[in-house]
Amino acid sequence: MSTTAREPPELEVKGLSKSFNGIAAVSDVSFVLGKGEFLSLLGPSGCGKTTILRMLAGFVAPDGGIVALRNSDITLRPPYQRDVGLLFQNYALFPHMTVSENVGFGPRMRGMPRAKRAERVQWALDLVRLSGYGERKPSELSGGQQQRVAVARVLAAGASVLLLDEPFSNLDAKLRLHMQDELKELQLRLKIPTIHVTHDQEEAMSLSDRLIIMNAGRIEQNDRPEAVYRSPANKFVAEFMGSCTWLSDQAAILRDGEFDLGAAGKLRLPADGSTSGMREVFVRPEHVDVALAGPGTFANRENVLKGSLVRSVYLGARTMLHVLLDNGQALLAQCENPPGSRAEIENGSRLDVHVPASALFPIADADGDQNRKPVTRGE
Amino acid sequence: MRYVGEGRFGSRLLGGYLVLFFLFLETPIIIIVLASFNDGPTVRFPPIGFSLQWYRELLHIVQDGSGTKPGLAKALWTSAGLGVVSMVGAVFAGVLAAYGIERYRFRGRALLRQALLLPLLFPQIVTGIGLLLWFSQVGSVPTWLRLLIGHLIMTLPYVVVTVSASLQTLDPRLEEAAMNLGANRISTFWHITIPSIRSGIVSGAIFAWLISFSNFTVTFFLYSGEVTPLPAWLYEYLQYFLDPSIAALSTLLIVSTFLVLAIANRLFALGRLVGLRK
Repeated sequence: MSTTAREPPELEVKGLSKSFNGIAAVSDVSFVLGKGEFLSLLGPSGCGKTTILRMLAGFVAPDGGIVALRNSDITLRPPYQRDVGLLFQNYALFPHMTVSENVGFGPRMRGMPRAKRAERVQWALDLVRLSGYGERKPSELSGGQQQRVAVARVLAAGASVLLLDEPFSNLDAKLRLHMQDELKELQLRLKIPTIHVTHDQEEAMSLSDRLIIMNAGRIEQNDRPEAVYRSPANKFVAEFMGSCTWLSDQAAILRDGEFDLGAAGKLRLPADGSTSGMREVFVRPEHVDVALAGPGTFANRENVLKGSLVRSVYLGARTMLHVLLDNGQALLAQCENPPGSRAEIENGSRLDVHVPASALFPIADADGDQNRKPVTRGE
Repeated sequence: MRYVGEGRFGSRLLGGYLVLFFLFLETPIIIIVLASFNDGPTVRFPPIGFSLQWYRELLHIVQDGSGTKPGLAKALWTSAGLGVVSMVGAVFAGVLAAYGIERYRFRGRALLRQALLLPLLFPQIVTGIGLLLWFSQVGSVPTWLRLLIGHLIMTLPYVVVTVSASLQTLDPRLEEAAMNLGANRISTFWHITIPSIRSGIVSGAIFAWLISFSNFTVTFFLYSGEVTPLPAWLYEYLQYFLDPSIAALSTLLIVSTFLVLAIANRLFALGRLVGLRK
């Protein structure tokens, strides 16, 4: 596990565990959060990520382990004596208070004098570009504005760590991207260390400096987004981070640096030896080239497999092709759609599939998940 | 609601049923109100003539506190005051009880909820006799305290029910957000919980007052000559006399109850409106 914190950690979690009615929700979770770092806890629902967040905020007492904020142990401190600001999924704005009263609530509870409080509220509302909205009630605001008020409220309270509990899931797709940008920009500007909980891997990748992939209460991998995508620690992580076609147990036979896929053809493995000794290899649909079979297609190229199209799924910018290789193995391929009209490929067409050696990703630790059932994600 | 292609006959039938239903429900009230305008010294239905003389006499009695109905004015104030004290006590205990039941999970929680609501289901006469026996065992409990205890038992369930209903619709994340922002338990309760369940508290309070004000059965076992709430006074009076001023008094009580409910309803609608506007 590579936890590269150049500076002393802002938040440190060691051996955190929690079970509910004898069922482990979080088992022995440890990680650190560096200064100004944006960290995402990513996993399917029920993987324990929300329980971790609630333990960090002090709403749930851990069964074991330590939470340390700037080297002071806060594991058993009540929620109102932590410097940890939580942004709720539904924003949890106080409906009976105005925007200003909402934002000023934290400073007020922490005993800030009235005049200074007004300044603080103004500062926070300016940050989220809602300066004119102080006298409104939350119910008069749009979803995006409500979220901004929630952000301002957390920031005004002066949290030294920000916790985000799936904060974008209540927004429609377009607004979601916008709010992600805005929040990320704010986070960079204020350099506030942030832990973000989500089940959306694209959102996590686009926002985070580091990802922690969780499954069944455990950390599967803790690394930079690119590393998690390119060299997943195990099958679960590989499949969680995107669609995969596995070239392994069933049809492929490894021989002399080559995968023999029978009637479909052969695949040469990367020359750098990165795949040597591995048991499982996968390829992602976005790294595969597909063309109608013909004499000129992929001429003079290695690693071309033969197959036929089962069906194609049009996705706007891309088309997803379900290919059946001639050895009986199914493979997913993704094509960018050109700006003009696209050539229709009929189901059953013969295809050539180019799988570059560099697109073959190994699972370094095929046995790493011996105790856990890999959760296979449906298509 | 009538859907496409459905005839009018069904909705007319339903309308007719509704009229009969409400007539049945409100007949006693209608009779009392009409009888109070009778132009003569007896309670009659249908009334003969139309007169406000019985209302005038009531006003007279309340003003000089004597005349044909000694104690009426005092009984009225006794009931009003007892209602207020019961209401305050029931709201205080009821809000705390409802919060405990709704927000904490503990052994015997369901039992406690049932126990608090039991006076609603129990025959009041049993509660009354039970209290009477208990007080005579304890001895020397002043009448006002007996009445207050009895009325608290009768009014508490209403507050618990209305406040519980409000709490069930209150998102616990609001309280968590307040604590996350640095508010301790008490501040959170005061600044977030109480304002959020205000409508439940106010309707519980109104119910509590009305129930206390109009309670007869339990009151009957607990009152004495020196502290006589209005329903008990009416009962005593009716044993010897029956004249239209009682009907007039009943009418006034009905009207004032209706007014209290209407004003409360209006205040809430207004409150919501103001909340939206500002």
